[in-house]
Amino acid sequence: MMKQKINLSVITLCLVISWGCDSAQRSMIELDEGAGDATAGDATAGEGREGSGEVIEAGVENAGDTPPLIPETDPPEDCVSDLDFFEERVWRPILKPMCLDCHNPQGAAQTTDMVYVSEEQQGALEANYAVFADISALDRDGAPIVLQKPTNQITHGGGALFGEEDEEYEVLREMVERARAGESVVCDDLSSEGEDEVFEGVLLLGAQQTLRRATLSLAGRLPVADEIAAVEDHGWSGVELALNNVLGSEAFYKRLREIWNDILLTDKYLGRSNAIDLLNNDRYPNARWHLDQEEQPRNEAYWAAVDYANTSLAREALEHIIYVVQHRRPFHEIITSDYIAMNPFTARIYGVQDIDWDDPLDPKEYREGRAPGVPHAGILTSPMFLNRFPTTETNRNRHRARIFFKLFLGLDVFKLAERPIDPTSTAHNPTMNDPQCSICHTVIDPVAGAFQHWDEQGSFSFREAWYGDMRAPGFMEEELPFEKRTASLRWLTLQVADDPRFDRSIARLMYEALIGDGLLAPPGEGDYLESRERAFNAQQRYIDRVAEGFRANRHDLTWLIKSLVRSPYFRATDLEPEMDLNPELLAQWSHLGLDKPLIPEQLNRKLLATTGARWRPNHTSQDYLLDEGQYKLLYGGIDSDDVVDRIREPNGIFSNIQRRMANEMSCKVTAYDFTKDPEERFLFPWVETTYEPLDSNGFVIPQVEELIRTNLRHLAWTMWGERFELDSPELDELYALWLDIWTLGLEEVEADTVSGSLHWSCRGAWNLTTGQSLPSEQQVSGDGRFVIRAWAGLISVLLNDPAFLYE
Amino acid sequence: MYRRDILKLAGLTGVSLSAGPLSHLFNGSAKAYAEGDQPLFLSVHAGGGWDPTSFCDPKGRSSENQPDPVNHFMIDEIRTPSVSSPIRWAPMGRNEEFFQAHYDKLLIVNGVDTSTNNHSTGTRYLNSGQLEEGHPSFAAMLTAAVAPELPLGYITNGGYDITRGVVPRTRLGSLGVISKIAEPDLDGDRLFHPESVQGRMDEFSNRRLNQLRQRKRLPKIVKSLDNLQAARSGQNELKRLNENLPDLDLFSTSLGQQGAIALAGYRSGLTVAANLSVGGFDTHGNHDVNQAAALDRLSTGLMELWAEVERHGLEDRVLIMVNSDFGRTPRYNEGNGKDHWSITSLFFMGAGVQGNRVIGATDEGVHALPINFETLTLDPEGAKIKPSNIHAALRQQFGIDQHPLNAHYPLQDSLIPLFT
Repeated sequence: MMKQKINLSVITLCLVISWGCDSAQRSMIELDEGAGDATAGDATAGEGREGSGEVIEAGVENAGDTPPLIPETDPPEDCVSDLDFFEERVWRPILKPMCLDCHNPQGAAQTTDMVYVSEEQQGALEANYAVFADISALDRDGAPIVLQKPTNQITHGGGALFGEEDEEYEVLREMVERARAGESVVCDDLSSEGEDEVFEGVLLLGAQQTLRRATLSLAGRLPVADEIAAVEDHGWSGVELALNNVLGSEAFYKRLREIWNDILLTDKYLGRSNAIDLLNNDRYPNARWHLDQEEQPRNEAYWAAVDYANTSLAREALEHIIYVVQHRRPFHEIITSDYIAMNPFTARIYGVQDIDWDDPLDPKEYREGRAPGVPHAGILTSPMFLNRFPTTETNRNRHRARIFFKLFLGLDVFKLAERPIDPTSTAHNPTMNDPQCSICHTVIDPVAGAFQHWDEQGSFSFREAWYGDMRAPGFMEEELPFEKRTASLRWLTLQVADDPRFDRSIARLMYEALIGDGLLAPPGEGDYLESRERAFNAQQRYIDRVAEGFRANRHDLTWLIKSLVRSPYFRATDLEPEMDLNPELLAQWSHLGLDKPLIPEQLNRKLLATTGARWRPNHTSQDYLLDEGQYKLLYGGIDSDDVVDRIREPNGIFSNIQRRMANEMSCKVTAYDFTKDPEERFLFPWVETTYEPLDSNGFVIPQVEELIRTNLRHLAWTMWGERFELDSPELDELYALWLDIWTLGLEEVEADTVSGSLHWSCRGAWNLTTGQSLPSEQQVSGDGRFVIRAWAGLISVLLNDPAFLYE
Repeated sequence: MYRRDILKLAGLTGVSLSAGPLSHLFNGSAKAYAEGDQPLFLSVHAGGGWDPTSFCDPKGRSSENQPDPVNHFMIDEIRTPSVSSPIRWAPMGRNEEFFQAHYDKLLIVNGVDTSTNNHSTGTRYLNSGQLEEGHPSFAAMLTAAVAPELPLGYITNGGYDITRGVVPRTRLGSLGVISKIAEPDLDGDRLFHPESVQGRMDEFSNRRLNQLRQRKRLPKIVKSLDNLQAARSGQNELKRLNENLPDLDLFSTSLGQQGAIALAGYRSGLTVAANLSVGGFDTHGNHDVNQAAALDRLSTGLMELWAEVERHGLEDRVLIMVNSDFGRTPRYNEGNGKDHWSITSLFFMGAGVQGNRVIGATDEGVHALPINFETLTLDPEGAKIKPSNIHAALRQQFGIDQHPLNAHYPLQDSLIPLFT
């Protein structure tokens, strides 16, 4: 076996140096198809088709030109790093099942030198390896204690676990030897080794379909012609170009607000003066400036100002995040900045007067603002964040500290103590002295102390001293320096921005937002453990790599999102038809594929993007899918207050909402689309209401049939993202459906069982955006030949299909 | 039989008519639910961590001068329905009205050790039987075990409603909206598409979904399409729900409304279990006022819920479990509030419950006392009651202790014979 003996600090330095710029990096495209799969020339080419040759299996070498994310190195053959050896040979088969029950912070062996932490804790493997390595150095009577204890050669509270002749002993002996070697065995940990294996046989979306999925997911729209052309011409580089465009758009920022509101939940304060009411009037005497304008007539401008002011304040944290991304600032500025993004309305609320606005009434104009006397630390010092994650006199900011760990360090503190405890213990000051309590409080209390100047109302209120019966303010082992005590939160966040756990935590949050699922939990006992471990390890490696890249790219969130989009996790769509579906392989693939219905906000945008109209009762109403009193919550959405987790599995209510949506929208948009000029239509650019495929004798009119088929192809791509050839079986089926609907409907009209006119609600008589009546010559209301309703039926089918409703 | 008379008699003797295992009611099919022969499980969650000492495990102070009391009310203010009844309650909220009316249906379990003072962990433990993550809620598991194909099998209004994918969960909110989506093919009083056309459209959609299901091979996507197919299979059945929906004006509390909707789902043959919730119990400040207000909402909601159960004659079909996240400290903090405490109570009412009973206890410092799991009496040599013991009993009571899901989501502790 070839080993690579190097010093860890050296390799770290080398990697940091070599990651200086994008062009020196390797992407997940290594696993993707080449750019050459896009066929130029045909306006419809390049859009990958599931199951066709255009979708290339994982593992095929890239013939394209996407720059690598991470410099390629040849890992030594058969190299097993110390950490891998520890995890796969020592931790999982020996320490975890045999030792952890006692050797944990609350276990019977909590006072020994060998105490391991739960796997749920981020960095647990590394921490546990370090514990083992330390213990390995200790001898008694010339032999390692760590070998003598489990064999009970030295009295062991757990008795003899195995003998010297057993495999476990031999494995521990090798681990001790490795740990004592002085130099760590480090393989190319940053390679994608192991990931390829998981994706072998998995079909991935091609470049065009990946772009379509990304634009719909991130911007709620279809790719535009220029973007499609860029991918046709440049393959994956074209995707990169198109994504640059998407990730700089207002539509993307809207999605980003949603993603981060799902995390921060500050939209709870939208409406009326809910956000403004949270502010301390003494601290912010200007907070209600717009409400106190007694001479101001209560006109439209006044109410707009009221709404702008509260919305701007409620969304302060979300807008700060947008500002950081929009200005390509390092993403850690969401918590480290010594400013908060302000618009003219929030600036006035905070009494900030030193910003020179282009338009002092434009709520979309954002600048860096500093409230007087406030030591900002990005969103952490926003009263919205501080109220959404409140504290009390007895809680002493611990809740805020827990959220801080969870969001920005990927550590769920509760999981450190996810074992039965006895909080009724009578120990004096248990958070300091009772091990059951201190396991969490050792971690969170110093950070709670860093929030010390932020009171229950979320206002800055300087404290001379923090509680003496709590651990001192700080972060991990480091105490807050005295000279930093005023800006304690900023000091804290600057520490965190340097912590690789921050990179990983943000990578995880964005992965969850894009893929729709959390990361796999560490596999426990059960069937197909090896397969599940393979999947888990590959995903962990992937997140590690992308987190490293995120840091190397100055915490550029758009880089992170682009990496996730190009990843096989985002693009996995099916399995090769010839793959053997044995249970072990299925267990390995159990987490792959985007399988969730679109969230209400995304479905709403997709409806607008594909049909050109909103689903709502009338032009002044709120959209059904955004209205909490209508379908938003029933369709799995949140209100950021009581309902804070989304339902993503379809249920009976979902399916009825989908069906109603399909029926109402098809009724509403079909005739309306025909009122427009063909080049302005979303749905019917190739046909007219007079186009019937059969003549009066029942003979086919080939030209009309071809136009109908062409339009069906357009709809299949627009609605479903599926590209059918005009003579493909899929298009034959769609055409047959259209023909049947038309024939059946026409029979009913001719039998006078159905009207020859459209129902008023389905007429193209109004502009759906403005509500204004259309000129009579433009209106579409008659349908004596059932052509319009045939198209409406087809649109209803398309809208109620999983290809439309799912990611 | 003269049901009303028998009920009256049962009330007088303190024995619920419907006491006994519910497992015999199940034949494990959606059809049986549609015919109304199956039990309904309702899990009511008092969100935030209630204070049992202000409710069903009352602790008063002995004198005005007692330092650091558990509560401000006096011991002699604690009430009981009769000398012989073990049930007692604190003089707060609408406790008096609730317990007087329903003590004969209640099985109270005091001194339950949740082993945590964390909201999510406690809620999870009390509703899944496992402290750590990984188990679905009992309501989800029950639904999955007996009728997973029902479109509204598991309704949730919050609390611990993790399903682990064994069954879909449904939120039901505004009733006005439900009536609209119950008839998705109707535009007012006319059909969007002629019946013949709609039939052809449905045939195409169903065939395509089947084809997609056959073609796709990634397990997650296959499962998702299966779920969609199952969800669509119940599209027409929402009409029955619509017909059974109550007039919400009859209810003054959100809990009452939630319960009435769940009952409508059940009466429509669509629902096996539901999570109901009422919040406001996390009274870190001004405990007496805020906890009393929350208890008021809970008691009023439960009374409305039970009245609806009785209105439909479902007393022997509906089992209600009422719990919270954990308990509250046996002392007031500096803000006159109470913080988190791992010892709590829960109670059951309804079908299968022998009422007017209390199992388990706490001492004056609100520490759980051990009991003998056979005799259910206090026993220093016994063990503390844990949520896992209770869930083992629940699983047996509903007859799912032999279901494969039981082995898939095992409980770590033995059964406490609550229902026998």
